[in-house]
Amino acid sequence: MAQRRNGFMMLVIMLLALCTVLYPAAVPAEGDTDENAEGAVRFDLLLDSYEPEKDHYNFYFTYKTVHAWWDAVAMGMEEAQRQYLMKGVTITYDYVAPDAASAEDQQIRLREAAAGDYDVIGVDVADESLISPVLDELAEAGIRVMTFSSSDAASGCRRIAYVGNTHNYEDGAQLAQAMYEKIGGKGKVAMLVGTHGAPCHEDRAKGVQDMTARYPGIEMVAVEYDQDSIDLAYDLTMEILNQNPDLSGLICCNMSNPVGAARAVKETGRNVVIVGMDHDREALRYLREGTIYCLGIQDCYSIGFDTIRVAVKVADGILPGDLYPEKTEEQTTIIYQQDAQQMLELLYGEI
Amino acid sequence: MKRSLLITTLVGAVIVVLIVTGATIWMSAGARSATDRAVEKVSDFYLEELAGRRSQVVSRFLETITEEAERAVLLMKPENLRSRDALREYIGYVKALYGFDVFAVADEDNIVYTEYSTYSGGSRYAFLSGQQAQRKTITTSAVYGAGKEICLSIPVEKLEFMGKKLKTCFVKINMSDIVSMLAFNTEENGTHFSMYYENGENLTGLDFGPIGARENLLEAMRQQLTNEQWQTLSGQFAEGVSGEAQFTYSGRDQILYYAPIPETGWMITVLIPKNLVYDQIGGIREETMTRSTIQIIATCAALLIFFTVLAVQANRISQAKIEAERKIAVKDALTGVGSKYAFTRKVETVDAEIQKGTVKPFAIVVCDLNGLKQVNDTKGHEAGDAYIREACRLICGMYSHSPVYRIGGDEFVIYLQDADYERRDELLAELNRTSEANMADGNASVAAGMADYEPGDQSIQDALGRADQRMYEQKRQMKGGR
Repeated sequence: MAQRRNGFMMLVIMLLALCTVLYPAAVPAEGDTDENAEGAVRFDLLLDSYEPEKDHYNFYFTYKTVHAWWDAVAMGMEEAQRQYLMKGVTITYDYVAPDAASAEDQQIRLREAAAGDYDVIGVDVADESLISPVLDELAEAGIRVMTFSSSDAASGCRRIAYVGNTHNYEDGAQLAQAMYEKIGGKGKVAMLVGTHGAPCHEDRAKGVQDMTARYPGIEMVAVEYDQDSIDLAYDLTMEILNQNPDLSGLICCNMSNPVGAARAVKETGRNVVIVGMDHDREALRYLREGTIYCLGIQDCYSIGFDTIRVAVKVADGILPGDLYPEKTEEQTTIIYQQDAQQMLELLYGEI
Repeated sequence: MKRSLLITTLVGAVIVVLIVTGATIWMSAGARSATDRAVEKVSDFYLEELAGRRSQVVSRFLETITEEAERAVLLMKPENLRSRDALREYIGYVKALYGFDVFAVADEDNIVYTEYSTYSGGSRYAFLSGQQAQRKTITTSAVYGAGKEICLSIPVEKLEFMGKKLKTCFVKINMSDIVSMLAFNTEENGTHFSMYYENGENLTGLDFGPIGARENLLEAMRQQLTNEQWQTLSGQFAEGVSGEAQFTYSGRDQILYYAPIPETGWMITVLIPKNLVYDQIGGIREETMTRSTIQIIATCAALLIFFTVLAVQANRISQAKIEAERKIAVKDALTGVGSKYAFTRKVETVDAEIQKGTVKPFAIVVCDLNGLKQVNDTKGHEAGDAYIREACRLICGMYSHSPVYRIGGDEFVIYLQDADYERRDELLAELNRTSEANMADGNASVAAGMADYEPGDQSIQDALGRADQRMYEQKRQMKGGR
């Protein structure tokens, strides 16, 4: 039995290695994404067979900023909570964030939570350099900590587990490659990033930069941070457009970037290809009308659901291993204009 | 005469039938038109009633929830706000008490407190921001993966939790509860219900007759209505005003009726085939028309029967009158024996038998009254009439089995057949003897002559002539004998 399992694990590792080598070539071509779009977000999740040791758990989660993206994560959490309740296990939790992203605010929140009666404290890391030490501090104090959403702590941090996007770098590279193929591999492009230090944003930006290096005809003329603000993203885009009349593309690394960028591009009537992240409803509408070329959709619902599922095991003192991995990977799917309507219906019931 | 009467009757009957039929058809057409107008009114009333009632049900449902939520806040005690767990416990109690799926309160920082969670709700619930939090609102919003979420929120005053003011409480409403409550499933009679946002988006997730759940009603109707109609429809939706639109969908005439649900921004919609009410009431109309038709036919039949009976009766009366006149004609008014006319008819009959050779043996007796002129002259005509009647009784008494005719003022003819014929000589002799005796006594007497029908006679007149001659001979003898 153990021999068969080892063989299976070997096969999985080989497949993953093959995928890693081949991933740039595996960027989905426009028009090949109907099936992917349908499975971009899974709403049919069920708890595994694990039997929690307690009948009540209390968690604390904090994330970067109050934003619709994390509301989607909340939906998955609520479903997991509901399913545990059906099993006779009560899950209570706090899920709070500041109105504007702030690593300092996050530090305060984490320390305040440490004084509370929480079984597990989870965080969507706002800045890995500032938050990772706090997490270590909490772990040192015997508090069970985990990370979730799209930003993990720094390597070596003593957080127990991470649930979320484990491939931000690849997401950024894929978006960049999709754009570069669209504009014929040459031209001036600019990049909008979210928050300084936010791992997910920075990893995507790095993926973009590395992919850009593979295209000698591409010139990156600007890199700006919008601090997860749509209005700022709009202002920055306007500035970039004014300074670069021959701009061919804009790469957006977070959820607010593509909305602000699309508003500006549409307003100016410029022919600029926009690629971006996430499922903002306005962004999906821009995708539907063709202002945005493609979007990387993260499965927020699964992130929320799995965060609760893993948190219960963490609270029970179970370490990553057979029952759950150290990093629970959640998928990102690149969708194009033809997928936009389906996604709007799926996520927002918009007809 | 008879034919004229029949024609007059028939023409009269036809005219009356035509008038009755025409009047009935005219009245029926009027009734049909009036019925159509009534049906339209009833149809409008029916739709208004259907939509209005459901609108009221939804309003009442939402009012009830509002009252319960307000009561829940009102009953909140300081100990319920002492800690997060205490607040969660109270929220759980309220949920169970009122059967809410979700009941929550939010503080001034838009932190939402539910039975199991505390979360930042600023980006999730638009009603937490700005002025909306200060008044009752019903918000329907599309939520990631959850379709449409309906929240009824009411402001909270003078309550604090963990040093922050509580500003709002809200209840999440399950649309399926409203849908089941409204009994939308009435497809068996072709009536469909649904609810839409003011922008035409489906609120219930149910098909609305031929319009799919995923279709925007206003967009779907754009294909069916004229531009003017569509502008009216979309304008009324935007303003939350009730109205109706008629259109043809898949070859069927439909009526779309819509009415606002107060304070929600929702429109309740009813879709019925146009002919539904017409069919329902049309049955009554057809029944009425059938009755009218039956009435027309019955009236015509009655009139025909009436006129037929009238014609028959008129004919009978006419026949009776003719018969009476005929009887008068064949009967002598003074004596009651056959008249001269009757004798003429008898002559015709007998002559016809003679001609055919079928006549039975007969004899003719001719009697002439003796002394009538003298009676008339001396005693008056009444006495003369009495004299005639007495003489007639003498004759009739003698020839009791034979027809007697008075063919002149004082002249009688007796047609003898059968028994009287067999005894004709004996009877004549007896008559003569009686007459002579009467004459001697001053009573009525007659002179009589008789002649048999003889082979070779071409007519009764031949025998009559011979009898008449013998009567005169007899009269001379009696005068001579006197």
